[in-house]
Amino acid sequence: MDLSVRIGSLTLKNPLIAASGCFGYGVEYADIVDLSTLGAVVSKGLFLEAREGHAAPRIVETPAGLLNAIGLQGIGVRRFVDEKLPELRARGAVVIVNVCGTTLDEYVEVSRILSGAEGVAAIELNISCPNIKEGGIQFGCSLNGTFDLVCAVRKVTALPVFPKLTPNVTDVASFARAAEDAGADAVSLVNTFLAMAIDVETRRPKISNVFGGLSGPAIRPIAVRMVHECRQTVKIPILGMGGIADARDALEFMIAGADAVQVGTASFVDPFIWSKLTDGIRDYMRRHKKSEPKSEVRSPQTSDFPLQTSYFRFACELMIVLTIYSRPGCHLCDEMKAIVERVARSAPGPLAIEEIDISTDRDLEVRYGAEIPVLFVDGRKAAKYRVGEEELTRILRDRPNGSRGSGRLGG
Amino acid sequence: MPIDVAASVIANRSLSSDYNVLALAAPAIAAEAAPGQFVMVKARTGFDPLLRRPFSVFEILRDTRGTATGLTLLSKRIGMSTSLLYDAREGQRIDCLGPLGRPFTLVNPPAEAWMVAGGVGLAPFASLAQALHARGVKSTLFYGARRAAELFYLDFFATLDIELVLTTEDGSKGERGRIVAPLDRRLASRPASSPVMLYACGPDGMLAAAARTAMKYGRPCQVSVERIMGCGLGGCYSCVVPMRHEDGGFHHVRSCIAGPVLAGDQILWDR
Ligand SMILES: Cc1cc2nc3c(=O)[nH]c(=O)nc-3n(C[C@H](O)[C@H](O)[C@H](O)COP(=O)(O)O)c2cc1C
Repeated sequence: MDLSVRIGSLTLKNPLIAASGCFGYGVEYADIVDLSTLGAVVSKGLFLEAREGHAAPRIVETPAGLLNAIGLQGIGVRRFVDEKLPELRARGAVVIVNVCGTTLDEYVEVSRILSGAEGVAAIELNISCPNIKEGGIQFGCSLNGTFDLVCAVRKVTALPVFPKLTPNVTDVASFARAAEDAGADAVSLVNTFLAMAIDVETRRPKISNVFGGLSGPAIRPIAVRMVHECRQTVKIPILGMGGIADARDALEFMIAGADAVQVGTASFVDPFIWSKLTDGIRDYMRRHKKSEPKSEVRSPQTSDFPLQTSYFRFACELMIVLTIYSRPGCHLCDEMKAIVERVARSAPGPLAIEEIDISTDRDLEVRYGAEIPVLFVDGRKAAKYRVGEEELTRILRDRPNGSRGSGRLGG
Repeated sequence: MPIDVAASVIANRSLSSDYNVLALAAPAIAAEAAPGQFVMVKARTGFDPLLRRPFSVFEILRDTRGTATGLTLLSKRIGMSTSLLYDAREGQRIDCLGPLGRPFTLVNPPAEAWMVAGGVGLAPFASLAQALHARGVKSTLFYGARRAAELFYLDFFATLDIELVLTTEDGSKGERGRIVAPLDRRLASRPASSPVMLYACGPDGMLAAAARTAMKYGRPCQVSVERIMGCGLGGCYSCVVPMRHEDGGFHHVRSCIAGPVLAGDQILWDR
């Protein structure tokens, strides 16, 4: 079963990516994980020069989470290119390099060096590390800073550029938009949440840097929300992450709008997680009978932009999903499709149209063979054979839970 | 190459109200493990606790034919994971990833081996003692604890012909005080021409003192450090130790892959 996804000009074998800082330089894992089976590997954050990072203790476990302040220890971009890239290349890894800087010029210089190196698939701009004073976050917490930095890097490289966004802002989607406007090919989110833990007995912080970044399952619901907010705002692909620990978690991000996902903390617990994740996603696709991602989900609001992961649909109240069960060469089906598309264009909110060819599935053939086309609205049967424009408009207006969720805070 | 097994608990022996020795059926790991290496253990599934914890391989268990059947861990109850291990039942499954890290470098006769253990720092020395015994290396264990009731496995080491030098903080057994005191005296009286390798494991203060004492007498000292670890595989850069760098500065090395056994004289103990 093909799990490949497209992230701009980049095609990944599957949507599973090892997150930055959680997989060393990749080579550390080369003997226990077949690197070529991952969608991609993101390197530890790299500056121009080597850095030693913060003193230990650098991490502490918190409820369902991990607080870290490593301080971006790293070997510097040139040593990475000379010493790590060749092995990664030899192992067939798709390498995304996490780029850091203390100044705009440093980001640009590191990116330029990487552009000339063989075996770099993309640049992930780390503008979101909460753990160092200078650099990174000063760009990631300012809309202009984000825009200017992405523009500057964009100018010096032909590689895909993925700014990595911080969740430590009020409106993360506006940063995704700034990145998109500046020419980013995709956005990665989220980096860790600024946090703190104190030893009550000693009354001292539990990690040497006092503050750290929180990751792991504890942050997942917030990260999912942020990915979804960005999905509603930008058209570029999204690499979603934050607390993914199994295939269902990965699917949750993809349904929320991620085109691929990254896994960090959970791979510490289970370094062999990757094959379990791909198996789990395959199994899901089999159960949901979407093995051939044929039907295209369209969102009229975003000018017919086809979501790449069209086999995942977001089927909650925030988006109306119209499913047409049809068969090739069926006249009534084409008519219904035309009407649905026309009504969709004037629909008030995000809406996805999905067409399922029942001739590819015996169960569906048995169930709907005598009724096609059959129209489902949000999983409920709404019409068969034909539907009128006015009728469909009324169905959409009157559907249970009719008013679209506002997407804002509930009670 | 490390492997991950859901090892079933063969036995769980309580040594005191805090210490226990947990025997795990992990023959494939045990067969590969060398003294000084460690395993990453998840005391139960789920997110509480979230991460694995590192444990030195204490003993390698073997059947009558000498084939490895499992390994044991020496654990002191201090937090959630060690509490779960303390309470683990026979038959329970525990995720165990290993063997990991760099082992001790063994010596051959006529060099002697002096092991220096503080508290739960005894952990890497049962398997090391077995390996040294097999090579016919004359060995001594300097072993300090808070009180007599926290000195464990003395018979085990005695059976391997290992000389015991004991200290307790309260004087309830052996010399009263810290273990580095008798170590210093023994080193002082040993002729420089008689080679000796030191192996140390215990709290950082003790390790620093042992390493400095070794340096004072020009003796090599391999220390097994214990740091909070995220992954045990070099992925997260959590478990670093500041080591001397040839440029005069220092370098943070990952104790999971460069260690846990490191050269005592290369560590910057005050950083
Ligand atoms: C120990 C550690 C180190 C990290 N280092 C980096 C880094 O160098 N660059 C970066 O962009 N993100 C870094 N991150 C953030 C992760 O890539 C990821 O965004 C975050 O941990 C959320 O995903 P998770 O919950 O799956 O771990 C680090 C995270 C951890 C836990």
